Amino acid sequence: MTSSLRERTPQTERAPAQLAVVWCRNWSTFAAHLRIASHVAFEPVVRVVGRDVADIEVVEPGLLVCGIGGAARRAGGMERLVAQLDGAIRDALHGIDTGIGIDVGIGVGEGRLAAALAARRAWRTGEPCIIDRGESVSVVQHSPVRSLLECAAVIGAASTVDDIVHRDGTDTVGMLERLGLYRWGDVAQLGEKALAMRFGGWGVELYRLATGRDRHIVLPVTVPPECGGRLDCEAVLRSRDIVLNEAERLVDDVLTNLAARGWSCSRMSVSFDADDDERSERTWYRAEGWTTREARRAVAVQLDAWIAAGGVRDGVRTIVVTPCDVGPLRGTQRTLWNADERGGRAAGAAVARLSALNGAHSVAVVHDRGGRDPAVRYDVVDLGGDVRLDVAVAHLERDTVGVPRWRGALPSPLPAIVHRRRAPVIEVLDIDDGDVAVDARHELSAPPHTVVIAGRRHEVVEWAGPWPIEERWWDALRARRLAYVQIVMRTKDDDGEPRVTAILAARMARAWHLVGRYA
Amino acid sequence: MVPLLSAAQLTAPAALPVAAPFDVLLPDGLVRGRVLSCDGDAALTVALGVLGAATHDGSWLAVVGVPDLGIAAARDAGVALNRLVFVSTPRDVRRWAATMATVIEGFDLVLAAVPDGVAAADTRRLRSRLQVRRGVLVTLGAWTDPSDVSCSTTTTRWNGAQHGAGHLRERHVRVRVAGRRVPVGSTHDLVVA
Repeated sequence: MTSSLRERTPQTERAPAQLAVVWCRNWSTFAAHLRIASHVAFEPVVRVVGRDVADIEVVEPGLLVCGIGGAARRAGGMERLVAQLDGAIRDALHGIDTGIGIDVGIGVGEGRLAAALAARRAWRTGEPCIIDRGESVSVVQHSPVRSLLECAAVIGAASTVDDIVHRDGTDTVGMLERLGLYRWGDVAQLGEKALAMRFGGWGVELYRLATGRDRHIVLPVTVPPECGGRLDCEAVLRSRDIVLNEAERLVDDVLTNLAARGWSCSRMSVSFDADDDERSERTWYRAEGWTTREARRAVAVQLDAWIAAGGVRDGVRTIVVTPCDVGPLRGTQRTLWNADERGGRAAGAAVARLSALNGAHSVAVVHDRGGRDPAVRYDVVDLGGDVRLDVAVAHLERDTVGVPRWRGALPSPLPAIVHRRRAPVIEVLDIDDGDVAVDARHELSAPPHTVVIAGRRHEVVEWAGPWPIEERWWDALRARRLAYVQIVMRTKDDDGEPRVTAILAARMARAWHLVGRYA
Repeated sequence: MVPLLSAAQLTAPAALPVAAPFDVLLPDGLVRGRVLSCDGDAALTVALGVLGAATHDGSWLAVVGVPDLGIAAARDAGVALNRLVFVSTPRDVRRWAATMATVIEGFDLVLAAVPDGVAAADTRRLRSRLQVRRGVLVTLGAWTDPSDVSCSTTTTRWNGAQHGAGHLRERHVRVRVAGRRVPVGSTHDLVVA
């Protein structure tokens, strides 16, 4: 019972599926000769592939990716299906070819990079290229890292080429080659940790690619049906703006529902059904996972292309949005998490959502500056939109309980409330209501008798100190000289009941400050 | 629809550990899904005391609306600082509830100052969220819904300071424990060092 449940927890990820990449070389030149927009010219190819294969993702005109495992079983074998597709595509192109000729490459492999490499090989041989099951990793590892540039469109979203080439102003491929890593196998040998240290999150993705996986993580979970979005209209929607509005709302719902579970999806299938059985179904891929804004844009592109192609005449009746390839919500997608740090992953997801809800500066973690002054040793620093919670707290791991204290530090117990930013000014008075001062030998001028906080007088019962602290005495401008005194005083609570409370006061620049309360 | 529970939730122990001397207040430990409220002048010390040990078992602690929490004191109470997240809250009370709902979703342990004027419906909703997520909420101040366990604290004495000599060493705190899950209320005198 437990073990079967454990298998379903998002600890591992699903192996990449068998994909087909259909890639037409120099499509835009070809389309230009036809004197039609390149995506319109590509439509016949998409249609013939769509006869045999579901969830087609048009990466860009001339390049499409589709899941092919199920279709291959139905067609009675991968070779047969691919030959069938190859023939159909060539027929479709033959019909429109103006005689300049076009190279079509069909490649099949597990994972997007492997399938793209296979398609490029198909250009050279003139035959479709199928990588046998289980061989994809070795094909990738024997390929040059330069293929990162050539296959950028397939492994990332359509727009990420610049991202891959010039992430953080560094040319990834050039850098790897200067390190003597020419093949993906060399990169894989470097290991995830080393790559992550050099390239951060991008290094983790490089390692994923080098080991035959996709950039995105797919969790082995069954997406509950309520995470999908479907709209069946009683009356057909005839206006483009209304359809778009409804589709965007569905997309928002889907992504919000996933986010509430700590998920996002990197593939998303969107379909519009017209009243006359015309249909537009597309899959969209974004390695980083879909954000609402990007998803809305994708839906608009699909709808407008469909309208432009004359697909919708009688209005739209049904809109369906289905998330596929569900992975952890971006920002917490960290393979660097310790496996037993489930709590950290959930916390990271919550932090991402809180930043979205209340602003990036609403979430903070502890920062240890060292030193002996309890008021300034620890500070809180907000994450400022950086939801790498694991990185933000990493420096604290060594500092938990049991670490020996600095000599001369203020003794425990320490105040549970510390005014780190603005310590209120208070008065500490002697028996004659004179200011109690701290002299050069760090001694009090008189025993404290009364404390005045916000105009209210409190009788001092006990006191201890002072503990002088001189911080940064080597730096005349930023030097801080102060002395702490612990004071126990008698107060009255809101009901007039007598109470004993303790405060930590500091003498600083000839004034007393309320640094903390023993709450 | 059956709510989706992850194996982590199903296999998590029903209660989290509490370290001495605060263990006498909660003989069953920190039971998941419950609200514990603390008030009085030692509320924060008791709250940190009951939460500290649990953060060392992998649970993360969110501190909501207590920006001035003494971090060194939290460390001394046993809180793992690398599993501590501060969440600042919006002024609007309605958005406070939304913030809390998000926090409860992601954190096992939540320490929250409850602002005035939170609607009873919101506290009920947060409590049922908490039960589903099997987290623990410790509140400072008024919780309109009756708490599962409430601790009223009074400091009775401080030992150690001798008019300038010595230093504050021991704090004597009287805690009255009551609440829906406490059939017979009790009073404990704790010595917090």
